[in-house]
Amino acid sequence: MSDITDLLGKWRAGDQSARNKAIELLSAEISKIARRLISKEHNSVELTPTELVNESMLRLLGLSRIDWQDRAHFLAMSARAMRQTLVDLARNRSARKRDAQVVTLITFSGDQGSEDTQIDLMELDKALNELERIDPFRARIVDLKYFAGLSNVEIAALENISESTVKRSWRVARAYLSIQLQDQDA
Amino acid sequence: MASSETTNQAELLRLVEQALELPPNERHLWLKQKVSPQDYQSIRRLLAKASEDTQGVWASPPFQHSRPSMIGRKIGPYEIKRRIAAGGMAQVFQAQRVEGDFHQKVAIKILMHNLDSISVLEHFEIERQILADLDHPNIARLLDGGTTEDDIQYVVMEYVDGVHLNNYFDPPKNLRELKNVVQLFIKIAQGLSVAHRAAIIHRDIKPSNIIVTKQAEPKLLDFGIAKILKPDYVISPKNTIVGALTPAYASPEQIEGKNITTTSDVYSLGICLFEVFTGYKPYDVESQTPVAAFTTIKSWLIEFTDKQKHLPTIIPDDLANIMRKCVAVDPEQRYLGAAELAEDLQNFLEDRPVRAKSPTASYRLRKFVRRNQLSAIAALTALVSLIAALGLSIYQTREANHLRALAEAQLSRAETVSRYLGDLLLSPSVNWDSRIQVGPNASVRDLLIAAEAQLMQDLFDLPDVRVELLNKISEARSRMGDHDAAIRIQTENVAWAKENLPIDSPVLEDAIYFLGAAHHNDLRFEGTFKHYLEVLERADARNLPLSLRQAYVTNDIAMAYAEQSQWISAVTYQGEALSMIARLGTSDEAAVWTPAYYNFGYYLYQAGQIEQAEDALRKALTIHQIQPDITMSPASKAYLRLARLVMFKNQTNSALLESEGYAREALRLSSQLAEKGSDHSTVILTAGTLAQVLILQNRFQEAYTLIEEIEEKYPLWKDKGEARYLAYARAKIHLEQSDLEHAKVMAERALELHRAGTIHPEDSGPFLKLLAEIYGNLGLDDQAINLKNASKTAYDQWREGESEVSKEKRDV
Repeated sequence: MSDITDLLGKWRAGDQSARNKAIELLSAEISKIARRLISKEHNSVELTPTELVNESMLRLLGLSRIDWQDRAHFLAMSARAMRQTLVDLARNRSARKRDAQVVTLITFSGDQGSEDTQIDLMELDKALNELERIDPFRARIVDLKYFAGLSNVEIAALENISESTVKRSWRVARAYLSIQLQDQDA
Repeated sequence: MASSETTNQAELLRLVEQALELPPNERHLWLKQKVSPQDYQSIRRLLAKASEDTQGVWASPPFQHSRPSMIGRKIGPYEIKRRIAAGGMAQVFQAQRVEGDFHQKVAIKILMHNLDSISVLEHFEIERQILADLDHPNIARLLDGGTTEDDIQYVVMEYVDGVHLNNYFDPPKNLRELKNVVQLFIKIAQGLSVAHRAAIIHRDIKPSNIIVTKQAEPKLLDFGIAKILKPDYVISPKNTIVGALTPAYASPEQIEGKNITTTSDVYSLGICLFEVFTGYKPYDVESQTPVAAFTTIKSWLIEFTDKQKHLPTIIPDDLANIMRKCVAVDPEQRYLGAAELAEDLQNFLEDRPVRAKSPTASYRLRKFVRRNQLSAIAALTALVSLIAALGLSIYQTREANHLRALAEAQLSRAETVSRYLGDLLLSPSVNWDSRIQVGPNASVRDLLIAAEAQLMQDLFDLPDVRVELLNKISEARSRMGDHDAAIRIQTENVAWAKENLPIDSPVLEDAIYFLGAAHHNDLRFEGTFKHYLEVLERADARNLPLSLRQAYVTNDIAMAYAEQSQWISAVTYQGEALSMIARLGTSDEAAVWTPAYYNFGYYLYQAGQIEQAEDALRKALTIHQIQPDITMSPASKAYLRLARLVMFKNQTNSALLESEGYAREALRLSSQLAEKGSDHSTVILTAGTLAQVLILQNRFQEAYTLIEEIEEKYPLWKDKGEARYLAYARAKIHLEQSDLEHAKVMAERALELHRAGTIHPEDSGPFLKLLAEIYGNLGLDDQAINLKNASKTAYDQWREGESEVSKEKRDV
């Protein structure tokens, strides 16, 4: 428990290796929680990534120790772990050929309705890995924004860039991903 | 090739991003000019896509649908019907009790995912406990709770059929039905006041946690993040789950993560009141970072409470004033608790004058204390808030520990206490305003004497409260310098407490501690040690987990040794205090650690253990970075000490520069504190040190300017012991200018100030040495030789670890 707090502190002080270590720790924890939730079907309920992150945050940091600063950093770190966990879950489900609905990542479209209403999580992961290869910065923005649900302001503060840069980067990144996904479909 | 293609791609993305800064109709043209026709073809689609305004599928984070839900399950005798709400920790369902013919609608809160994390479970348990304690028609009642066979934790609550307060956001209608709506708020506040009286802070008051039934009966829900102010739960003042609060309704102190009190709930309720009558939220901080949110809120609040921000004129003035009082930036200016707010809303309804108009008497007193910068500020504020707390919200002061006893006492008794103390304080015979003229301490002393006299014949049926109040009174007298009175009061208090309190009462321990402290403040060390050690012995005998009090007492014992220059003992005890703090685990806050390490470093330094001292001081400063705002004072001292240590250790250019850096940092921090009225002595010591380090670098002019500046700014300090380094530096400057006469005068003065101004007169080495040098230059050889020997002795003593003086003292 104190490990994470410790690592968070070091990361804030500029230690990048602490960040990596913390992410490692987190990924393990998040996927452990997720797996446990899936297996305990009898009393589990709908689960959003935010809830998942919140829960792992509670478990790792302890109720009494969360302050806002830690929360933002924690969310930022969980972003990557979050994506990994969701993709793994989808992959397992898909492998077991269970309910195909569950495999698909469902989001709700805006009112225009011109867009696809569903994104295949595994395809998204593939596209995102590609983006990460050519442009790690924008890929990170996607992780923070889409998978960890951080606001533009929070991302701006974390990455030390302006809010409008966050907005534009997110636009370009999601345009890139949308095109990749469409092309994969074709 | 592959790598250049990669850079290229990233560069193209960057260009598209840049294009987005332009107006939509110029983007394509601009991009076309920037890249090759081939590349343009490949990114044209990207730009088009990025220019779309809709987020489409990207609007919300991925949502994983899964598994069967709770609907239809039976938990105990309750069948779950539908989900009402979901949060991070728990979900709330509507359920029905079906046993025989008896049907009852209930709300069931279920701890999510069968979490086994101890803190979450404990929290759930706390909520259950809180609700069980609260019985009021305006708080949703707890009916049942427990754990199912398959380990699901649940709480069963009264199901409230109604609408959230959000649905009441209709200002024109609310203003037409003003009385009804205010009545609604009175009821909410009354419900909340039951919690406040039980020493519970809700911490998440917001419209969606208030449901109004068809009968217009409001019910307060969700004590999920409430805080019980009892020692078991008050692990530390920072013990808040800030992540769980709702920024739009959270008080500034909550957002800052500072200590919160019942007034924080008053604030949130004030925002609800504002929204109900204006129809809008005062500010939008939903997606802001805490720091930004805090700034936004604070600037709005200041404008609002200063009446620069006008409310619709149709809102009656008194009601607007009530809102303003609820959301005052300074928690002390708000209503102390929900009861006071309810009362004032009632005043408003009945056209009686509202409190919100003029500051209360206790507020005036606090202002008075602040204005006059009394020596006993801390003690008095505690006393005053204690008195105020008795009547209105018991947990108003920060020292929840001290007040636990009060909460557990019967309310009616507490009211009696409050009434007589209140009468005493606020009676017309005590005319504050006229007494202020008499002199800063006179009226306060009068008050304390009157309070003591009253207590001598009263409150025998509430022993904890009586002992506690006398503790405060003696503490206040002691800090005012009335040592004899303080010791007398506290000696009697302890004797009475030993007869009337249980042998293991923490209040009794406190009383003994304050008796030790009263001796300590008068530098009567025998009594100091006797009582401090008794506290430790009693604490050991209680065989309970280590408490912060024990660490503090140990810290104070170390300090008492230090004051007698028994540095080795000081180091030993301070080391023990540090290890206690470490074992406490929960007290990992900078506020505790920074001063503890600073003291440790200071004692080590005095004990001649320079390297360990340096480590400890650096540690203090590292920890200071965690919570810089609240550790400025010990940090400035640590910088000062480090500056002196580095300066003496090794006078190379780089060491002197390093020392100068520390001294400047110490000066920056202590000047900030000095502006607020504290830590002047550190400023003076630091300025002297900075001057010394500048002189060692031959920067005499800078040193001279600095000394002049400081002496002009702090004229009262010129003759105090703290000015010894300044005098020393002046002597050095005179010496440099070969002005031996003035150098002599100044060096003698420095030595004199040193002897007067420190309780460790034996570390006079540098002063003696300088004077010896000047005497030597003046041809006063005999005196010079004497001084040189004296200085050598002083230095040896210091290096030896513990001075002869202290050994003697210890032998006594």
